[in-house]
Amino acid sequence: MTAYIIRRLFQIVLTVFLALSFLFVLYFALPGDPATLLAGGDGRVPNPTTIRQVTDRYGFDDPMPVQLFHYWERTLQGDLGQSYQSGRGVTDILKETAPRSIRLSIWAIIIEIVVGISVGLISAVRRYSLVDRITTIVTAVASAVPVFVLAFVLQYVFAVIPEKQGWPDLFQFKTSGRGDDSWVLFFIPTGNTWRYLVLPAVTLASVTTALAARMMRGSMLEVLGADFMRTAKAKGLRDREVVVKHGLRNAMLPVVTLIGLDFGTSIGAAVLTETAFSWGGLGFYIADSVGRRDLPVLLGLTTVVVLAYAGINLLVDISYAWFDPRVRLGQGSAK
Amino acid sequence: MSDGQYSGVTDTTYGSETSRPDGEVLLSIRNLRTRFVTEDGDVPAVNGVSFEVRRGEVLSVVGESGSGKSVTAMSILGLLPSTARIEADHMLWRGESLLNAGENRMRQVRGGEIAMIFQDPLSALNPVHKVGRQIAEMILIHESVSKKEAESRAVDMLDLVGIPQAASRAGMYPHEFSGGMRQRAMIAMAIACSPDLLIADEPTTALDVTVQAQVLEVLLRLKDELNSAILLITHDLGVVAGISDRVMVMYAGRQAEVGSTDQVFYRTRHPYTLGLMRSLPRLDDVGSEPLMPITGAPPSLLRLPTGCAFHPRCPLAGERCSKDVPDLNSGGLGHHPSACFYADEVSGDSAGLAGGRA
Amino acid sequence: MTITPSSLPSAGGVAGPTDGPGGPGAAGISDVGAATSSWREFWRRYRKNKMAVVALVLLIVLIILAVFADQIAPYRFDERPLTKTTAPSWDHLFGTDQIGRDIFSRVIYGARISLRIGILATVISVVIGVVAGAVSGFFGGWVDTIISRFVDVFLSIPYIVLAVSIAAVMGRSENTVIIVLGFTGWLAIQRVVRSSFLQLKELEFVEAATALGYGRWRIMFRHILPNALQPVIVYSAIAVGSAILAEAALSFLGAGPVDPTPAWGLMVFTAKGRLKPAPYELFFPAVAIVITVLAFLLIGDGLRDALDPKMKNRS
Repeated sequence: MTAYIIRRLFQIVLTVFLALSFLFVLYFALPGDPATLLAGGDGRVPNPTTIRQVTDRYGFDDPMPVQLFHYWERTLQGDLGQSYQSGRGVTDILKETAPRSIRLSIWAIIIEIVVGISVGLISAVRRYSLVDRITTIVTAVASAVPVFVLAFVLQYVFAVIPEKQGWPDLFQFKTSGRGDDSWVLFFIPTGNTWRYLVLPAVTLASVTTALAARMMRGSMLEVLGADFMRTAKAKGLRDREVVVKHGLRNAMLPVVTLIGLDFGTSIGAAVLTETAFSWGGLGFYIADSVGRRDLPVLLGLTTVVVLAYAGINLLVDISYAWFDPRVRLGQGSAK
Repeated sequence: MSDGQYSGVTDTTYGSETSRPDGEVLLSIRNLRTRFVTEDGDVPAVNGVSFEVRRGEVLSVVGESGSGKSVTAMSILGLLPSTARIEADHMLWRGESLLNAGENRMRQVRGGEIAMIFQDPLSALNPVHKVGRQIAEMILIHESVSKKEAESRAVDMLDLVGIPQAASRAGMYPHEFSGGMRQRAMIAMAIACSPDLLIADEPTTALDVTVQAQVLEVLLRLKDELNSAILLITHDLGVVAGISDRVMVMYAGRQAEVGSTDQVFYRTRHPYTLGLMRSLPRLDDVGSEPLMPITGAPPSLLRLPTGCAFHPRCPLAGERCSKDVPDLNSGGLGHHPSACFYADEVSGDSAGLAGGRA
Repeated sequence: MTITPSSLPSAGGVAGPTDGPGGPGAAGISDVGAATSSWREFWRRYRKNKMAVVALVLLIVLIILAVFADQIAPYRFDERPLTKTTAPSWDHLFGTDQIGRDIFSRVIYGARISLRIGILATVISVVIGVVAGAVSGFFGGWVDTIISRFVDVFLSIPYIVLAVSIAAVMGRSENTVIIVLGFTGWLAIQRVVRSSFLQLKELEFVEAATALGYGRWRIMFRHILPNALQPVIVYSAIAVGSAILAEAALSFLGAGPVDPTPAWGLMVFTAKGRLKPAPYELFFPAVAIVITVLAFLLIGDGLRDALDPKMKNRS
């Protein structure tokens, strides 16, 4: 087991290194001159001397491999640079934005777990029933609706309409920003923060929940037809007991993996949701910095996202091995 | 092995001649019909099967895939999917009707009085539960004992079926066992509550030949110790010869013949059974005679032939065979029941097959 | 953002031996009905799924709209019959947008763009993905290592980030989007095809073919590939829907085609600030996206049921 983990860590380091290098080189090819941006910024017309100074200082004239080398040199020492636009340290920006994304992701995953698994389970057990049919339709549609469209629909229904109709404050959700941004235990919203949290969290959860529900349903259906389920019934267990005691754990294996992966992806891929709701997390600023060609911010944020994704993947693999005794103990040691 | 003693008179209940005429009748089934409702029509998987099982005996149900033997077994315990429709004139367990029993009563019966073991123990045991726990679960369902006691008895069961180091084995998962041990573990689970009838659905099919013998031996030993009965489902005639007292041959959802093992093997009264016997290679064959497989293939249950289901492949088939459906009485009195109008013309090694009718 | 089929059918579709009791599956139905041609059989099974048939009809309608947009749409997509936004009316079924263009016409022209992007991007992904996966799975060794590492690197970057970045470098146009989507899409397909090949390559029919002296490439493409293709076909259908969603996302983030191209995602983007006064500007292109993507999803489901010989996953 330990050897496995070490091997994987090694792979991850290599992969991340290559991925980030690729991004660096890619952005290198972006049109727009960073020196001008840095020197000027805020719409001022930069004077050529300043541009020259900035270029020298940051080495923008150096050949690309040299720049790449310098980049890694700095990064490995923890220096992620400063925003071309605002001059703020990237690390600072990270400290501010990363928690926001994490909080949003945590809630999205909670929704996914609770709703996705229970809906999928019920659909499978009550196949062809009304619940099942509705679920099938809803999940199909949810998969087809673009995230940002859902965002706007939710905004319209839960924020614009209540406001127009003058509904009491209690029923109004908010559509942008983070309100008080006050939290307890890192992820539990207090004050009016939850009003700002609900819609983005539901939106972010929608895509993954639909998939999780379908997967749970499929997995459960397969398990329901498995031999050991019949054995369990032959022992005299109630149908409900058979499903819960024997079926659930087996059915959940692939779903757990999926949810774990979703957590990893959602941190970075919440780009659309965060943009739609102006929720200033990693995703929001990544999209923003691409548009503004703000390379250090872009690279810095992306680094965190890539690392988080790889790290979570590893955790998921390990936990899967732990859940499934066949993987944990190795396949069949017949004596 | 039975000594083939029989009264020479068949009872009104099919297959009631037995090696131990005094054994209590545990299971009595008459005219069981199980069909599956499908998009393409109703599939009559079991089409009028009748038999009894007495305490102390081993009754084997033999047939090819699709003959209905497994479905018969699962109909008894109500383990079929919801598309199944089970009907019978009667299906009695120790005098009580299983057809009319409510689900609560059936749950008591399952595992507590009639236990079943399945073909592939690797897929029949839950892969994420330890073996000891699965056995203990059986006990906990039917008896009110503490968890500790159930677990300790589970270890005893493993010991009983001959698994070495039972205590440590109980803490292992199914995939850590070898095939033969897994099957023994499943047997241990099945007998944990001392059932009166053990239904074994192809218990040895997934095992090596050498291991097969061991597992069969375990089954026999337990049957004697518990004074119970075994309903053994198999397609392997060697297994039948090994441990059965009586045999029931099935074809296309119906019974072909029923009798003691000696009777069915040596005084065969159905062309299908004879065909099965003759298609087996035997060590004592002189070596010059070719194997004789049965020509043709088993029919689709959705489109059974008229009359006797076997007649298209039967060398003895006569005109009557395509019109009337034979039942176990058709073979006439005086011998063990056979569902063939020409039962008397089928015999052992004789070339009754050579002189077939047109 | 990408849709993955909820449960890809197991690779190969080669049925293992099943001798299960209970149920007519293995037992009774050995030859129901005479052998019909495989197309007919396929169509018969496909037809059983009503939603899939509806989806197919829908797709045909969309294709007609796309091909004959010039004839069907009442105005051209960049025409400005009015000068500002108006609500839906008989003249303008979906209303007009901020600078007076007819939304109904733009939505119809948008079908052309979405279908083109979706289908082309998917074709690119599938071709590259299948070849890469086949080569990887079949030959193994260092070829496999290199290709798989490559795929891993790009899969480790969240899809959106990768797509937006590449699009930013290549400039905004329809072709950019096609290339970006094609390039990011093949990664997942390569994985799937590779694992199919790994499984199939161990099966006996490959051993038999090798014993008969068939060349490796021939075995790979003419023997293994057809078996491995079943999940790919299903995936492809769904992938078109996925690509259309991705294109919408890219447009929304400002990396897609530019005005006046009537890309649906772009139309949603430009309408987003005016949700209160003019919700119809956003609503109609959004619904168009949903319906189109849904159609492909359902067709994918229908294909899966129709191609799966064991109908294990019938829902």
